[in-house]
Amino acid sequence: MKAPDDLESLLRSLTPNTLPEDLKARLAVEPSPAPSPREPAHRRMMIAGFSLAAAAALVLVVREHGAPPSSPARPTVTVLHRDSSLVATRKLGFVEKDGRVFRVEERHWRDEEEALCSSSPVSVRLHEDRREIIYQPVRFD
Amino acid sequence: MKRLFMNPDPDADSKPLPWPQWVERHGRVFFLYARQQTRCESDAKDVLQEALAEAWRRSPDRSPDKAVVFATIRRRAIDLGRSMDRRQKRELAVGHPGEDWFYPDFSEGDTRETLAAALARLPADFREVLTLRIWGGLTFPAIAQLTGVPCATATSRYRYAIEHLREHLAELQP
Repeated sequence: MKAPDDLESLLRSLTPNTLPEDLKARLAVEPSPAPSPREPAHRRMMIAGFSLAAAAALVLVVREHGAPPSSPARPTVTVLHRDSSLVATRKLGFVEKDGRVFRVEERHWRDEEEALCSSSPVSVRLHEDRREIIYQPVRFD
Repeated sequence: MKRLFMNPDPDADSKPLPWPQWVERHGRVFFLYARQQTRCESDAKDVLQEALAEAWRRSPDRSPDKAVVFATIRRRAIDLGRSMDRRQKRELAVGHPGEDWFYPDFSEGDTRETLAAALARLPADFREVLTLRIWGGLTFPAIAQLTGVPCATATSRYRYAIEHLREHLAELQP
């Protein structure tokens, strides 16, 4: 038994035990990348609102141009294009929650949608700006 | 939520390691810590696997920082502990091992077993700081942030832990 005169060195000389074989097997495969987060509820609602607004706008357009009275079929709305683009980002700072540190960033998005009514050659293009706050985990270095 | 100012980790890896090498290099220390933070071996394995995967996914461009991994293990162990009922916790707390925390080194005689047993008997707060400092290689400011105590408290706990072990070993001297 060594004398405990240099206990810290003695402790450092101890090597933590190896991982059990079953745990090694569980850790053999690299974790898959994080799944893309599901679109938040407010974003899904916004997209639904977009579609509704596009449909309403097209109905107005159809009324303006006058739909053929003999046509029994109701016009249908087709979304030609829907896209979201990142316009700008802004770093806001760092926060800590539940022992984890996050970098807070504000992202400015532009959501665009183009829709076409079956009874009219006129397409409608809508866009809406939105901002979202992103929390990104950071490391201690 | 509060603002936090982080301290640099001097042991941070400058180059990203592939997953197998990263687990090989740091897995032992993380497992040692996970075993001390949980109430049974199977919980330690579950917590470690989930924590390593979480830390790895959150650090796609480089190897995860050790302090972040320790913090993830700690949070998951706490969450797991809260999810268990008290009776179950009492049962699992009995006979929690400590004798095989370290790799056997027969040249050291019974030093390893003696120290591991003394370490297992330390108050959990002291043992946590000692483990993070000695085997985790974290700075006291990083340990303080991880454990949610002032830096002076983390330093004191370390000193008390060393003193406890020193007294325990001195008692064993012939």
